[in-house]
Amino acid sequence: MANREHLFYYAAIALACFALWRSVQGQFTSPDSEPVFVAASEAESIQHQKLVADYGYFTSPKVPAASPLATANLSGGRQVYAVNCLHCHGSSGRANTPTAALLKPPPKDLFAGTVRDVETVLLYGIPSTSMSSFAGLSDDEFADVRDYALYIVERGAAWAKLTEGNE
Amino acid sequence: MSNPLIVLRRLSVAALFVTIALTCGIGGTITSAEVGMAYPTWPNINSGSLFSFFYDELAESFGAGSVVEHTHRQAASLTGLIILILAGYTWVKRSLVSSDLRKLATWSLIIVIGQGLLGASRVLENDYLIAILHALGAQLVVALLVVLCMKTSSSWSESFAAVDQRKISRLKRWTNLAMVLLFANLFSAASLRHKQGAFDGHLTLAITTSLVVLYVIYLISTKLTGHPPLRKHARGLAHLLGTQIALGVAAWAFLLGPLTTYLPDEDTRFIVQACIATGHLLGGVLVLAKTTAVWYEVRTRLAPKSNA
Repeated sequence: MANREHLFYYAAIALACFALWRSVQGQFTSPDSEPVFVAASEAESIQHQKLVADYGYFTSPKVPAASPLATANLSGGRQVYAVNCLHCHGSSGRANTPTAALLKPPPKDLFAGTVRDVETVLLYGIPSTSMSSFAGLSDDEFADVRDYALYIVERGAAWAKLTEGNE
Repeated sequence: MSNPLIVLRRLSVAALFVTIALTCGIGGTITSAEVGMAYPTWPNINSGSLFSFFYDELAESFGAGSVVEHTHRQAASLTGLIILILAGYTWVKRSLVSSDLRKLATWSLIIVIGQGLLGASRVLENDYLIAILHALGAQLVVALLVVLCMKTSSSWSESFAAVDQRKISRLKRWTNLAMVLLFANLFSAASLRHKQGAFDGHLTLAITTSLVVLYVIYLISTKLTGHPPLRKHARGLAHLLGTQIALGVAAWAFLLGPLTTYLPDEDTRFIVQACIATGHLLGGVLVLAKTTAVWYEVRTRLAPKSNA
């Protein structure tokens, strides 16, 4: 009995050490889902298909070969974005999340291209707002999330161009 | 003139209540709603004072998220104030208060001040590791306040039937392990909540900790029939652990598992997820508080049977 109890005792310690190591080393996987697109008309649905052909989905992004982001690690950027930005800026960058509704001034709509200099904002934040600096990210993470934010801006601009003549 | 122990007891209970219900409850809500950075200044909110109680105006100027953060800072200040009075009282009445109590109160004050500074760094540096340490520091304050409440209780000097030394050693070993595992689990839970840790780490630790706590409850219920306060604590701990496991399953289902998209309306989903996550956090704090009570009873109030 005593031996069994000792076994349980040390097994609990070993398991706890392993779990603690996993907690520190393991990658957090955020539940990330593609925002639902609802087309207002058949024309808009076709335009959206064209956008997806060029830019993929928010959760599996890609850009045309001529884009300055052609060599960027956009999938990695999406992962960093999901952990650090998604709760305020939303899955599509439109900043229409419940958390965003609790903040004043509201977070910027990346899709609408309201951020002029993404890199500077990420580096220094916006004083007196809830947008703080993300300079603490690793160099790779910083570059990836900056590129992903720029991808949303580029995608938004492409969408605006595609839908220019729509009513 | 009032008995210093009664005064200290009242202050300890008040500090414990404010810490758990307000400071931890609102602090947990902040992380659940992800409004920790609702305003990046500290301790004042941009141009408004920390001691402003015009919540409508704050919400109007800085958003509802800032009000949650603001009330957390106010509750934390209240906790600090009560503990400051408590620690000061133990020094003023040092001829009537035991040195153990004075040390405990002083340590509580030091840790609460450290907590405040960690909270400030978390906001000013936007650093997740500091946020995790800030969450752990709160649990340490709770544990210290539980011990203070117990030591200042009027029934603390009661004695009970002596217990076999081997049983005491066994219980001490297991309650020590339960405490260490609980803090480790709180660390992994805080890492998960701040999106820095893996879910499987927290799950494994939660299961291991629950099994160890259950074993402690089993040992007390079956081997310590002559110690009513400990048995009462063990019963309370069993109820809290059951509730906490249920909340843990609900938190997993609604935040990471199959029910993530069960509620189609985003706002409703947000509120439900925030409530469950905060409830699970508070459950964890209460389990820690009760386990601390069991741990301290076992450590200090079990008298060994003499061999003679």
